[in-house]
Amino acid sequence: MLPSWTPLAFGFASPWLLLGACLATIPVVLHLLFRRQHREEPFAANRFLAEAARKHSRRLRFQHWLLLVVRMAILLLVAFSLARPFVEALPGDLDSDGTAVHHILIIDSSLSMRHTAGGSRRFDRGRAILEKIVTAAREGDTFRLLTIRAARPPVIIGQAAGRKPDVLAELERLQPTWEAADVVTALQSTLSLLDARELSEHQRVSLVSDLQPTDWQPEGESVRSRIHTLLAAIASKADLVVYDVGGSAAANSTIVDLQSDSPVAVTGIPVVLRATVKHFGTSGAGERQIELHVDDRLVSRRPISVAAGRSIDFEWSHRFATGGEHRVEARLGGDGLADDNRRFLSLPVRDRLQVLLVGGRYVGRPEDAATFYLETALAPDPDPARPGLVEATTIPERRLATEDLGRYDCLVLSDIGRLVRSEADRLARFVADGGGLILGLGDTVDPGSWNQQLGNTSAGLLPGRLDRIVEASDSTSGAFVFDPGNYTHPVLGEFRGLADNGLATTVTIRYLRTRPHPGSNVALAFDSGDPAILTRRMGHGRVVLVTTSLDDRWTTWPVLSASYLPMVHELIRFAVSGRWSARQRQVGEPIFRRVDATTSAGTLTGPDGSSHSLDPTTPRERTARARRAGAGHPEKRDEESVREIASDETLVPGIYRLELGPPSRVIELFSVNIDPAESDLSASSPGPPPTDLLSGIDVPIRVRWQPGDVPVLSDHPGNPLSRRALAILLGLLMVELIMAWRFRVGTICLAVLVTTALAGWWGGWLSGGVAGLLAGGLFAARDWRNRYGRHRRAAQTHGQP
Amino acid sequence: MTGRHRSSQRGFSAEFAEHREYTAGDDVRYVDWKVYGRSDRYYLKQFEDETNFSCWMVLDTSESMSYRSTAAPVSKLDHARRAIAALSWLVLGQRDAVGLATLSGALDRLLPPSTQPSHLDQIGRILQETTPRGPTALGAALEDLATRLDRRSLVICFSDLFDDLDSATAGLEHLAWRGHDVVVLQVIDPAEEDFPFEEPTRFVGLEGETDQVVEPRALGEAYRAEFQQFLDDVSHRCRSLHLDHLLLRSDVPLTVTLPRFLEARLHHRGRG
Repeated sequence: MLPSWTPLAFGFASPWLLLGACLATIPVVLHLLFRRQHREEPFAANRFLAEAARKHSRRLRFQHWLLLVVRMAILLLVAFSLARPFVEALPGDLDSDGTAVHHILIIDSSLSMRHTAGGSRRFDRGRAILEKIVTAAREGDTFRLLTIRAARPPVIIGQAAGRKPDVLAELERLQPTWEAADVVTALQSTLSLLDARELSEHQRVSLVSDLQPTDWQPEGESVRSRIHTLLAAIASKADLVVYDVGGSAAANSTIVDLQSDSPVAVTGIPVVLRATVKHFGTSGAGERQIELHVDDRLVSRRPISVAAGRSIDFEWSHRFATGGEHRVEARLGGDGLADDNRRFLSLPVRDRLQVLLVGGRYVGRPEDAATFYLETALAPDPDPARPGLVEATTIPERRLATEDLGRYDCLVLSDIGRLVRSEADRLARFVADGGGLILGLGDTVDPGSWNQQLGNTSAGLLPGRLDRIVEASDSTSGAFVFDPGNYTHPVLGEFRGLADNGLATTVTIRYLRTRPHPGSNVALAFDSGDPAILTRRMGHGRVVLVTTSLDDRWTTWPVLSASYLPMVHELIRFAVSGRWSARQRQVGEPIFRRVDATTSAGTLTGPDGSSHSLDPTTPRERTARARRAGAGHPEKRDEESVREIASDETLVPGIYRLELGPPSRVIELFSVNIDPAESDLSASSPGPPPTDLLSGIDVPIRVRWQPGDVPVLSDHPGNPLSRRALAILLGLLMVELIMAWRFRVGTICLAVLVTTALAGWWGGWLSGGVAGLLAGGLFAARDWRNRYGRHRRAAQTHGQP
Repeated sequence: MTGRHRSSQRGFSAEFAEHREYTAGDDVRYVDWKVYGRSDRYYLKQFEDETNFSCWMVLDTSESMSYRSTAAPVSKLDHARRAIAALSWLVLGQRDAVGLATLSGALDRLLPPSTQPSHLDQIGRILQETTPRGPTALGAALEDLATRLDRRSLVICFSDLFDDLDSATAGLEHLAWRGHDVVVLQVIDPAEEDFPFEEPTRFVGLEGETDQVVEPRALGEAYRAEFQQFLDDVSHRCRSLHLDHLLLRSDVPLTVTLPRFLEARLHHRGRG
């Protein structure tokens, strides 16, 4: 049933299919072609034929024209239906019963709504729709306003507002964000608002979005199902009106990733910066420019051309001359969504990676030390032109409790027998702050003490539970070798594809069987199936556990295998990479950092120049604050002694500068980037909206937008024009057949069809059906009376009774 | 020609019929005195009047009579020829006289009545020689025929009556006024009454009428109504002139229609 809308215009979603309307000329052409091709028949009673034709010429001409019109209408309706017509209308007078309506206005303010086409952003078009709804509303109508975004709660106007100027002002203040769309949260909030209202109240939910499939039809089945369920629940409680402002297919290129190939940047050593450009769309993006900026200075510009649906990696080799915090940015030439054409990377650059080696065993000869082979592997190259990546410092076990761990990027513990609680806590804080920890075993190690101090405590450093020593003599082969599997773990990346990488020939005669904890990854295993190298994340840092020794006590690895030296470097790179990844954020995520007890405050400066002071807080305080704000905190810690400074959710992409102190002054840069999924605009093309999104839901109106048009167009999925046209087309086909058989009966059927269609249009199908039956009855009665009356008059004329 | 049919008038001729009692005013010449002598009562002798029956077969030979549709075994003219031959054989078999007149635009051939059995051959020859031609002008031809017939006869007219009906009716009325017993056997083709055509057709008139390009599905009903009105009109006019009227559809065998006609005639005479 059509509401009493004010039609503005009329259009077609596939106007080129209207060319099919030319088919309507076929009946006329056939009529003209075959009008002179009658067969001849001698006939004696031609005078009666002539008389009948004379008497009924007008009726016959009418019949001919009517039949021609019906046949042309059939062909026109075919083209009309295929062109998917829609009616442009303003929902200004939706309710004819005069009751006040409670409007819930929802507007998608995610990044994709920033896309510009036809001189206006999707968001602006959507806002214009909502403004028209507010303006056209009646006195007494009330409004609530929500946005679909990820970082902030969706409710903008939580209490029903009755003053239109206030609502319009609030709408005017709304701006699209750089965030992803949290559709589920927005729909849940909408449902909560609906549940809070009186059931008798007339409620209408007007949802404006580009219906971006990555948001509305995510790959996760559970989320997709949840969205559908929520939409169905909303539609059951209110009139759900979905306004699709996505418009035409929008091709878009974006930089989906910007990384350095090595998580460790060291002065003087080239680092490879890699940007991945992806083109979302069905046609090529053409040639554009990609630029690399380091510390706001253009260092490279290249032309690029990305095929539709493909992605390309671009690499630059860059050498940082000085240490410290550096900002890297890749920029792409402009397109319809300029806001996703920049990708940022904050890169701390060290003069050297500081690695602390802690040996649990030291005897007279240097080669007997537990850290001997590690020191050798990390020794700097004697060639001064090739500066070393690592600067290693070796200390005995007893100094672990007093050493300033903050100076180091990575700690390597080799064959440490026992650890006390304070040492374990120091190690846990070091890792949580982004440091790397590599644990090597040996004869000295007491598995029980390790499990207790590093495994069971709040530190939770151990990637697995140490079980018992496994001897090679127990096995049938007499020795264990590594089984690298498919080289899927990042630490094995350098070995992938190298036939003689040495991993498979390394002989191990003893290891500590370890059962991985949940969340740990097995990087390398023995051929017995037990893990050889385990990794896990903790806080911002990473822990690596080697279940055999890092010297030659349990394995020939450091002595006979070529894989030992690169593996040590790879383990260190991997372990310290947590510090770097902790600097990368997505829009909507907060920036937080652990600080020591001496740090009194911090200042965060955003890319837009805004500056905020941050105070160190404990987890309890943060949890309470987050609860008051109505949002969860991304990480929950149990350590009350841990102090952190944390910002609110970041809202703008770019480089954020965090300044800590006093007393010490530390400056760190954080890069905040958009979610690349928001850049995928290609699927939000015109055509039927996602079929399973609204399937089975009685959504009365779905509005489509086309560039250059007034952005309020309506289509009725429950009663679409094309569906009505197809129904009428089917009826006309039947009528045409009946007309050819018995014209009078066909005329009655045509009258019924027309009456049903008109009455159905304005009054619903039930009214249409009743009106059609009435019309059919009236026409049939009139026809019967005419025929019966004629016979009676003829009989009277002939003197028959 | 005596004996096979009864006269419509009872008179006093040679063939005794019955006695009846004398009443005042009766002609005393027909009193049977022998009966008076035996019974002492006056009875009159009554006789059947055996007349010389004369029948004219009038055949319309206009072009429209040549029409034969696919549903009909013969044309209307052939159907009428066969009917005339059959009735002539019957009449001659009763030793009554039968004559034949053919007419189209005007009175064409005229074969006077005769009781000779060989007369049937002449009738057959004329029927065989007759070809359809020209438009129907039944009225004038019947007027002409009426002036030529001096003896009251049974006139059986075979025609489709596709003519000016007023003119044709005037001719028939003239015949009836002259004392002839006129019977109209209207010969039609089944297609003329049923109009079974489906496809768009150009209908070519047989007597110079304008061709009609017609969509039979659209006009069929109107045509059938028009033709039925024509038949009703003919029937009505014949009834008003006290003429017998019978339809002869050319797809209905004469073995069906002629006995029905003769029976109707017998019944009609019985009432008369």
